[in-house]
Amino acid sequence: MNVDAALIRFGEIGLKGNNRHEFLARFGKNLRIALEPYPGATVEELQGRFLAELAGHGVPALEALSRVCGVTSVSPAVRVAADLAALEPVVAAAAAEALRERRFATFRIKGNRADKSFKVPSMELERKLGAVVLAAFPALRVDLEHPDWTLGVEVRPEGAFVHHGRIVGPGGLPVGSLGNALALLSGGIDSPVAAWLAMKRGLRLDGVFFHSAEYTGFAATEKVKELARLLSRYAPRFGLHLVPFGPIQAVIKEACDPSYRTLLYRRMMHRIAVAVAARERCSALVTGDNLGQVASQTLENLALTAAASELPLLRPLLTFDKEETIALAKRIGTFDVSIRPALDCCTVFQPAHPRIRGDADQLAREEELLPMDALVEAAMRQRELWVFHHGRPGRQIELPPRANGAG
Amino acid sequence: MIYLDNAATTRPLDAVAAAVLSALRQAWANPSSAHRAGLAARATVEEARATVAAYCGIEPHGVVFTSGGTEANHLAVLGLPLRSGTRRIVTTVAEHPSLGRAAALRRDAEVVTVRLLGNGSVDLDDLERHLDPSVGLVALFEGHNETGARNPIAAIVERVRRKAPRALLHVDAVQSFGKPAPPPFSLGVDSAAVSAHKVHGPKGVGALLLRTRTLLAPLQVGGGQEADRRSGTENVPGIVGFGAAVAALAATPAAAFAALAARRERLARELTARIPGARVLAAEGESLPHIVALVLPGVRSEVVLHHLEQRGIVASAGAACHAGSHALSPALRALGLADDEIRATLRLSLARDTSDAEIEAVIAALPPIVAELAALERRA
Repeated sequence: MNVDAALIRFGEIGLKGNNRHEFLARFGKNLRIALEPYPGATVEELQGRFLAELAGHGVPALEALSRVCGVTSVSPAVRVAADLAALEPVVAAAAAEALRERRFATFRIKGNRADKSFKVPSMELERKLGAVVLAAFPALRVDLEHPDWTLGVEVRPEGAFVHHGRIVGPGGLPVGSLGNALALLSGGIDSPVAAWLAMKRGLRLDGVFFHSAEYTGFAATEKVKELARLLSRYAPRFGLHLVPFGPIQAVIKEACDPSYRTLLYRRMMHRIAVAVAARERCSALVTGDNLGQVASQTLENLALTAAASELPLLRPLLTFDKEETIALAKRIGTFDVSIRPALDCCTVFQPAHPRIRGDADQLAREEELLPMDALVEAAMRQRELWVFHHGRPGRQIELPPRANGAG
Repeated sequence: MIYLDNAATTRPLDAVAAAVLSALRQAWANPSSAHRAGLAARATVEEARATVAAYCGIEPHGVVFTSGGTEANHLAVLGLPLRSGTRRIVTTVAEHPSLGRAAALRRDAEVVTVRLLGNGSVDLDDLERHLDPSVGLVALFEGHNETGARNPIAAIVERVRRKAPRALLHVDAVQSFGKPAPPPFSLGVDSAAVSAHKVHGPKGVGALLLRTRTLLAPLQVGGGQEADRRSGTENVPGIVGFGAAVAALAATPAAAFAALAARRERLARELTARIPGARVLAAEGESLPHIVALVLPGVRSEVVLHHLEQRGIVASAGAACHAGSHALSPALRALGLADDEIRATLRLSLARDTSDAEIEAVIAALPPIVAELAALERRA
């Protein structure tokens, strides 16, 4: 089947009461942005759904739509002249194609007549087209309640759209409808999944990555850029902030108790993330933290790390099992990139015995040894911003000099 | 970028890029085709073959084009015949895996390995102990890719001919080719493996060079190209580019190679003088004119590498710092280096296009990096 159009369904947006209009406007805008790489493609709001005309761009445009947060499913559609004689062969062919893909016993035709100048009412249209399918495949039966297969027919002034089959979307809420947040990315499996889950709940996200390229090389940074590129397929935009962290690790290693290093690194990351968030008007941090996965993720250490952040911490993966996270990473396409080998922390900086349960008082004494504000300020001054759209390679954005002052 | 990783690969010359493009545009027909376009493509391949043969002082028939150095080493150690009554292959403990691992695949021979001396060259006494009339093939490096050590080929040939008269002698000349001379056929070596991209040519092309009309069993059969020694449609643009790279090599004045060796010497001398405890591998023997392998005490060379890259200097490390000891270089271990020293080995490799200014920049940049990182490492 040639794909001319797409019928787009959404879920929770419809439940938002007074905000419904605002949510729908945001959703429509995000759908339009997703279609920007496909000139001529358009989106229009119907009753409780959206219809996109793909202007000859077919499956790639359809897939781009299917990744927009808020979309529950997308059905590929064929455009046909709005009259019975034209619809009948297309409907019969669609049934034949569906039967080639899988066996089924019952079906229904679901008509919707938005164009009242079309002479045949919906119910009659469904009956007439159903008869065409029954004539071609006498073994099939009609079941209006629980059909194995449904064919939709949307009659509109510009033509009729025949659709069946669904690509499942992310669901959730339109990106941007709930504000801005900053995700801490590591290049591992978890943090991109956490970021995606936060986007799916309506947050417009930027990411921040702390690199030590002078110790570990550029491979980790390139990997995180690739993850940012993949995440940008689900949102109108994804900004990635690259912050040099090697010099800070060197200072911490020089000054502090080795067993507290990991905690100190993480608390510094949170402080810098808060500074980046302030610049980018983000009102929460998102992390891939998971209870008990590694030494820094005991309840005590999670609490000590969180205490360094002046912003609310969102941890979508907190209670996930690794297998659940991996399944999601595979679904959103980040898994294969996340498992590429690239060190994000140099072995030079890793303590032999990291503290499993840090002590808040000693941590405070360790931090008194560090020129905290100066470190945050220096990191902010060297921050780079890369922006990604539509899953394309990122572009570095020049930051105005004052944008990198701390606080 | 200051590029000091020429042992990994070299920048193709403009003349090479032009020759490759011209072959893609003009000589794209199949050299085996009987029409005029095919004949023209054939002519470009044969012209390149003649260029390589002339530079090396062998017949054009002795040039078997391959996909690179790895295939050339395979073709030698798996394809050269073992004369009747011989059943052993002698090699060293520190060969490039394309030679060492390939030799181990040979079914009709037993492989024995010879030790290296502390200077990185083959231990001639140990070699002599392993040579006898049952040896059918001696295969070893001419110049070493990791240490820069050069083997004493004349002394090796003398011992092989005296103690193992039926043996063929193959050298892996991938690093030594054209630095500064062609493979040592005049000394009596029978075959040599070479690669175009180590001499400013394109990747994906190399050759097994044969001094005489030695029989060679093909590793891949098919259309019978390369006198039935290496089937597969010729990589015409690659071969033409290789020819252009060798033509440039032949036209390079001796003074340019002397300058290259002098830059290497200066780099080695200044860095060992300025970095306390640093030493150059293979310093006491003959060495290649383009490789300086340094052991930098108290640091991990991979981290040094990334610090250098921040300053626009790229080179190569002896090992990744997270590499397990099983993954550490057997060649460096063969020189008696401890695991920490192997992880502290940095390889700087030069080329004819390396300038004095670049050398000075490295001499200025490296010592403070090593000092800073050694101080960091000294903390627990």
